[in-house]
Amino acid sequence: MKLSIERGILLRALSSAQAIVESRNVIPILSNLLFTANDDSVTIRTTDLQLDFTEVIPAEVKQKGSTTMPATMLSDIVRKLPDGGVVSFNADPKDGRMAIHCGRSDFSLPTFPDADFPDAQKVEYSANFSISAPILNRLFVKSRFAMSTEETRYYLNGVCMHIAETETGHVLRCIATDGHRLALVETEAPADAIDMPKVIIPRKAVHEIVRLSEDDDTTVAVSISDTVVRFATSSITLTSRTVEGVFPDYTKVIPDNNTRKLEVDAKDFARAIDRVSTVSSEKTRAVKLQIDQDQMVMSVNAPESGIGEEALAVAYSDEPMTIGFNARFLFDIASQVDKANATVMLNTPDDPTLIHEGDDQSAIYVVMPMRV
Amino acid sequence: MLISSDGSPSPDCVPGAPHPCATRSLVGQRGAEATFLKSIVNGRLHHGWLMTGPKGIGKATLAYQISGFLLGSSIEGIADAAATAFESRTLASDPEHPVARRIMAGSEANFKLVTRTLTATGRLSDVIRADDVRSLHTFFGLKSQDRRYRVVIIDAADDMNVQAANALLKVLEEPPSNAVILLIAHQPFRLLPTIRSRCRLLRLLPLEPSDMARALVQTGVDPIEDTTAQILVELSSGSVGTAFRMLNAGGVELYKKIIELIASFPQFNRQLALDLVNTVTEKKSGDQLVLFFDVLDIALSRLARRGALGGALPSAASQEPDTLARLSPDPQAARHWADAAAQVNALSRTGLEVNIDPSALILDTIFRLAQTSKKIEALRLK
Repeated sequence: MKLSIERGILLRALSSAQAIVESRNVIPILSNLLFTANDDSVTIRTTDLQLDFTEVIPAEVKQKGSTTMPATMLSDIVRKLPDGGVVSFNADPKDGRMAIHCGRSDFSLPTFPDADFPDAQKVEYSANFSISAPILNRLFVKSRFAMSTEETRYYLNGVCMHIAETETGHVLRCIATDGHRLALVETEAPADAIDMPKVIIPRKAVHEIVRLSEDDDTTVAVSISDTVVRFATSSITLTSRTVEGVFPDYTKVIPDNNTRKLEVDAKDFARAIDRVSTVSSEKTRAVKLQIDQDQMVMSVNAPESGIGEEALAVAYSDEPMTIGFNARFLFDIASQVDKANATVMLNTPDDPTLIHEGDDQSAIYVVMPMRV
Repeated sequence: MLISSDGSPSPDCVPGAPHPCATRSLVGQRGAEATFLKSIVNGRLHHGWLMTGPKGIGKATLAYQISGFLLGSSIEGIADAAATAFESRTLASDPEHPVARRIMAGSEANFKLVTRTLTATGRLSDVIRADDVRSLHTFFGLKSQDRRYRVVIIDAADDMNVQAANALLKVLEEPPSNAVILLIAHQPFRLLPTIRSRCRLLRLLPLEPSDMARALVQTGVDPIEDTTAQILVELSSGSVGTAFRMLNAGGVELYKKIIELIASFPQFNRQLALDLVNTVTEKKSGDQLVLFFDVLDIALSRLARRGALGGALPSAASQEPDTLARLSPDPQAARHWADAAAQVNALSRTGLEVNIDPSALILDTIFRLAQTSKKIEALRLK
């Protein structure tokens, strides 16, 4: 194998690829990346056996071939090489090493045979559709904060994606919950997506999908099967196994009889929570909301760390009430709101509270109150 | 690779011998192979298998072959594959098969090995910890992407501490779909009874002399004569792993030296004792000392056996039968030797733990044994 790649292009591909590789990996082959030279491009693949990343980058290939190299080390080397250089690779089949040359620098890295690298599984997908990157990005960015980290309830360690039928037609929905809060984000379903199975996409894949869809101008090709999901742009393909288990019936959790409506400037709300919660105790992080006519006083009273209070102008015309929340949960939600206003729908201090963005119902958040 | 390529310690492998996942064929365990295959053919593949038998007789090798077999075909096709394998009477698959290669490299998504891992300080842990077992939550938490079995090997289940065993119990009680968990246990009675009761037992037997010779050749040893094989079977109680150590690390020679020394009992032959000390300590590696105590343990248990059962044991060294007969003539003597073996065992364990000077430890041990021999002699004369 013999080829050369522009350093900038290679570096960008390597830093994305390297994110998949587990840093504390005990299995040597999994800390390697698969490096395959095709006609006029190079395919870089990394995997942690759950999530599989493939990127194709242009290269000047003199001799085709395939091998594996330590991902982190290669990425470190390329990062430190001078800008604007061309990196050339030359595999020596005799001693199984890869010679890397750029400008006046020379390196030689150990390789493992590509046959040991996990196979890219051939999967039959039951739905294939394409979706614009910003829309896909929104689905996952706005829901991912609510994913659980609890190992015992593994089916909550991800975002559930499925097609739901609403009054306005089919929607593509992403839901995440950890039992204390829930985020539900939806968008009009692409026509080809109607038959897709309900899947739970694991945490690590969710973060990578967000990263993949950050570019505004691209379209992402999505393929879904019961066991595997794939998200692909023109150069990058992400394939992930789905989470085993059944996602709980979340519709029961979303309240529909919350009538007390409170509107607040989302940015101010988020900043105020952040400020007051500075003194909240690490363990409970409780914040008390005293809501009155057009005013809300947020207060934290933690005996060991201090007292914090802030008043905020809101639009509220119902009966006065006092309700408590975990400041962290409330802050996470408030930070998700892009619209100017956050609409908080309250019931009693013991019932779940519903929050959405302005009058937009396509992203809703539910948070359980705390006794304060 | 699972076979540590970077020199890091691999807890589940006899030093110098090929790793069980790289062993091409399993010798002398047709019965166990047939039992397992039959369970698939009958459509009763249990999710938990407890593979028992002495150390080094091929439990891990069989476990890897079962893994390769289960992962090599789809869930729907497994019954047919098992029927074919049952007819050809072997589970062994081609080691160059992609699945086998991936299992060996640790890159098979549907396979997981749970074994002792390195601690935060970089030392190999003495036990399998709860966190090691809990990694199975992540493993079973994701769907198998191509609808195959998901296979876990626990090597060795005896290494699990109580917390780890309880964590495993949870998995065994509510097995995930299409999961097969293979527990390798050298001493199954040390496991929690609740774990034992949830697993199907797969008993592997010690090897016959002819199988031993074949198995040793496979591990890369030069072909050996039948008599040597016989000796090795005697000394290793049919365990290839032990036999390999005996052969490779000079265990057979050591055994001969020990017999030579105890032949001089009840006298304490200073010259022979010092000679033995030199042999053990000249390589300056702790392994030799461990080997010495293992071999000595074999010698003492043979002494006890000779006394308790009477009759001659198959000879493992020249002048051995006479020596054994003279030193351990009756069951009473056998009891003394058994006690001595237990004492030596405790002594060596403490000695190795606190790092006593090996020469002193060996001499002290030999001296105690000479004393035991004197005691027996005195009783006999009375």
